[in-house]
Amino acid sequence: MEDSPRSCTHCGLPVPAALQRSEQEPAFCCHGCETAWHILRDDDELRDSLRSRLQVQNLDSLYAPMDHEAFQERYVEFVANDLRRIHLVVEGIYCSSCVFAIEKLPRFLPGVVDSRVNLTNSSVVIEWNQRQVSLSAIAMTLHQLGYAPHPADDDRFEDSDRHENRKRLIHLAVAGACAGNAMLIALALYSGVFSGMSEEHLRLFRWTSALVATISLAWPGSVFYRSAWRAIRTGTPHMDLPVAVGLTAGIGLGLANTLLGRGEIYFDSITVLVFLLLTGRYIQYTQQRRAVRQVSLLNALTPHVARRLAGDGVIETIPLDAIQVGDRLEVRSGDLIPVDGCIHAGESSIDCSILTGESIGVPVRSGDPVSAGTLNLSSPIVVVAERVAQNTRLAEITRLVEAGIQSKTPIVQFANAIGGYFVVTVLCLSVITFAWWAPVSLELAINHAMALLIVACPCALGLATPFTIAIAQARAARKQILIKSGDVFEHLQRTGSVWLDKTGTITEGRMKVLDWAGDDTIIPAVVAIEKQVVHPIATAITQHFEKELTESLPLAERIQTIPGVGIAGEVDGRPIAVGAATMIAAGNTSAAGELVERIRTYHQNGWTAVVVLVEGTLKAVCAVGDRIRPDAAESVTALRKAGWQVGLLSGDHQNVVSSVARRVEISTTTAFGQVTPEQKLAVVQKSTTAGTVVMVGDGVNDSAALAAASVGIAVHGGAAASLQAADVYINRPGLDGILMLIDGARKSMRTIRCNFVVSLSYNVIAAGLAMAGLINPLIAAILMPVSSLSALTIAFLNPAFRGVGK
Amino acid sequence: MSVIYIALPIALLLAVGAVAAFIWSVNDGQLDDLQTPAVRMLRDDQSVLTGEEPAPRNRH
Repeated sequence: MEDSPRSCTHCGLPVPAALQRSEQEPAFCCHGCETAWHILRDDDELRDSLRSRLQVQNLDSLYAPMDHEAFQERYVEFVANDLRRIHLVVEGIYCSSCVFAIEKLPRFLPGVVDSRVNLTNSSVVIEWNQRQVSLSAIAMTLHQLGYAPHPADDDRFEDSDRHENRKRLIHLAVAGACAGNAMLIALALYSGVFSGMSEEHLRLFRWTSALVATISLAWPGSVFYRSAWRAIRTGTPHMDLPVAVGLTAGIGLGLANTLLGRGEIYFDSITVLVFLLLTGRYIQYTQQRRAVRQVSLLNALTPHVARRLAGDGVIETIPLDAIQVGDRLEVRSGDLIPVDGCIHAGESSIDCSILTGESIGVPVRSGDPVSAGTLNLSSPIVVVAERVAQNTRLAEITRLVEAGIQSKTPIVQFANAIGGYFVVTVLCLSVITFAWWAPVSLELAINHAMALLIVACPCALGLATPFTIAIAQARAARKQILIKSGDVFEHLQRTGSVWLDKTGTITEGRMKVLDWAGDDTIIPAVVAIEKQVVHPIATAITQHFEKELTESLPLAERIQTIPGVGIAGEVDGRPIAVGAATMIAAGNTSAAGELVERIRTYHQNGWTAVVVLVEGTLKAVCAVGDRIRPDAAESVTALRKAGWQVGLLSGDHQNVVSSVARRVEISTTTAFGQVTPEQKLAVVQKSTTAGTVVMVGDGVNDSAALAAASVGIAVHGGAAASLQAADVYINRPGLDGILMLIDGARKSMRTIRCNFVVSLSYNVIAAGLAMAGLINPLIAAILMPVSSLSALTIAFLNPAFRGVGK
Repeated sequence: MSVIYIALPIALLLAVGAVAAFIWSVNDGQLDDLQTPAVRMLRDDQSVLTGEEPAPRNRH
């Protein structure tokens, strides 16, 4: 890139005289270059700001395990000599600038040979020379750019998904080519009817279109036959059954008439039918695929690391896969515990909410058991691994999820339920037609009966459902509601029960300070002490008060954590203790009867009370709890008005659950606290007998119930396991997404039914004409696209998920 | 009108050719990702470090 005034700053081409500027300013040959140059310059700024923002994080330890042998063996592909390749899933790719930034990686990171982005599945394939640059350095650079990388784990799913997509595309192409050619030939035949055509040419055209139609039916059309056969074998009605009957009648009559050289052929209609139906299905499939993909993206695992204590006391960072039973692992405060095991050394408190849903730290000490996936809150501990990988409690829950999925009764879609009746009706009608015309002429009777079977083929009917669902799914996705399957709509049209998990749905899912009473002058000291520990309550307190504090914090010394109780320290020489109400017993409480009274109120409300003792005297009390979302009560009422029974299922303490239930007007008889994942599953399974069951949750402890419910909804910020198990993922805070989903499902089902009525009336008209012997291929060829077009129009007019998105 | 005996097979062969080309492109992975290529136009320039054209695409 030269910088002379005569050549473009961006591309180096000569700058036209009209666009020349002074020497100091950059000059451009065209507006495109100017825009691109500005974008790039801004990108640099963006990058720098990202860099400075991310420098706080300790990226070294996060990505170091990527260089470990076990990791490399599993994810890295050998290309040649020192060249290696890896497939990474990357967070935060949205647009062309992202593609640009990532694909420029070889420029600012020597050693990287190639990096190719795939926007559709947010992945990057990177090739690098391992002598020049390490994988962890690449990962760190990506992270600094703002795209946190994760190894792409589900290669097998990727492969089968890609295979499926390609197969469908090829079917679509073949069906489209056949339909197009059959229509061209049909055009020649129709003009032949009006202007005359010699017998030999007529035969040629008929035979050619017979060939085309046979290919269309035997290759892409085989999908319908396979599905219809499955429907017969399993005894479940399916829309493909009448389609298969219609197609068979069409090809049979067409081939017979071609062979005999007389009568009507319907090859153009049936090839177009195959093409249209496959198109509708492909569109629905791509919508579903997109939703599933976006959810599975969120599932991408962060590189899990463990810190193993070697015999000589040296700590090495290893990937999770490399842990073995008996290893001693150091877990720092704020880290996830990687295995099931027991504590070898250290005391701490642990957040087990991932397993129990209870968001209050549990005190543990040497010898106590701990579970994989739980969070170590206060101080470092050493854990001896007892069960790893597939043997942990976490893995057990994952298996429970699979059991939940299997126990789910599949729903017969409305369209498919109709399919059975449709076949019977059409067959009966064709028998009547045959019987009616048989006395006139046997040949005429066969022709009219077959024509009826063909024109009654439910083309628009087959298109109505996939189109309506696909369009509704796409609109919902724009509102951050990802729907994985169309069955969700069918389930939600009937009412039943809604089970809500407390944390994250009704409440905000985070600890907050709800009340404070007492001596305000000690606030800085309290914040100074609480800043020393990592604990949800401590974080809530520091965050709440830090905003209001103007002066700098005093120095807290001699910090001592009392596991499960609180923390004590000295500020300005005065001993201060902050912690649970049990601390008071040791202190003097007589002077603060009013504060003690408040603590009682807190407990009644289901809040956690925190007390502050200065020199052993109770000086202040503070309530910490998970705040109820402002819209929760309103949404619950709206749900109930819509005919749903609303209940609470939470791992939290019964008192907390009851108090939350009272405040959002959920009957306390349907508010269950302290439920295990197994119990949640049981409750959901029990209520399935009485209508649709909707389970809303976000934790691993909800995932089995989510999988077993008719409709499992994972909400904003949910855990990976819950996303996988759920049918719907609502990526917006609050309950209004659930209301919107239910409302949208109702409207979509109404649209589908309306579409059915319209499509059926076309079939009735066509069947009537066929019975009267008035139908001919031309009328069939006109009726069919018109009916499909109306199905499409109605699907677009669906009022569900409309309006301005978030 | 007997030219139709040549024209019709040729027309069909052209269609078969088009379908075959499409199938090849699908299996080649060209339709796996329909979004990225459209925004990749800025990328295909010379590498500053090596002075070479970018490496060919990885296909799956």
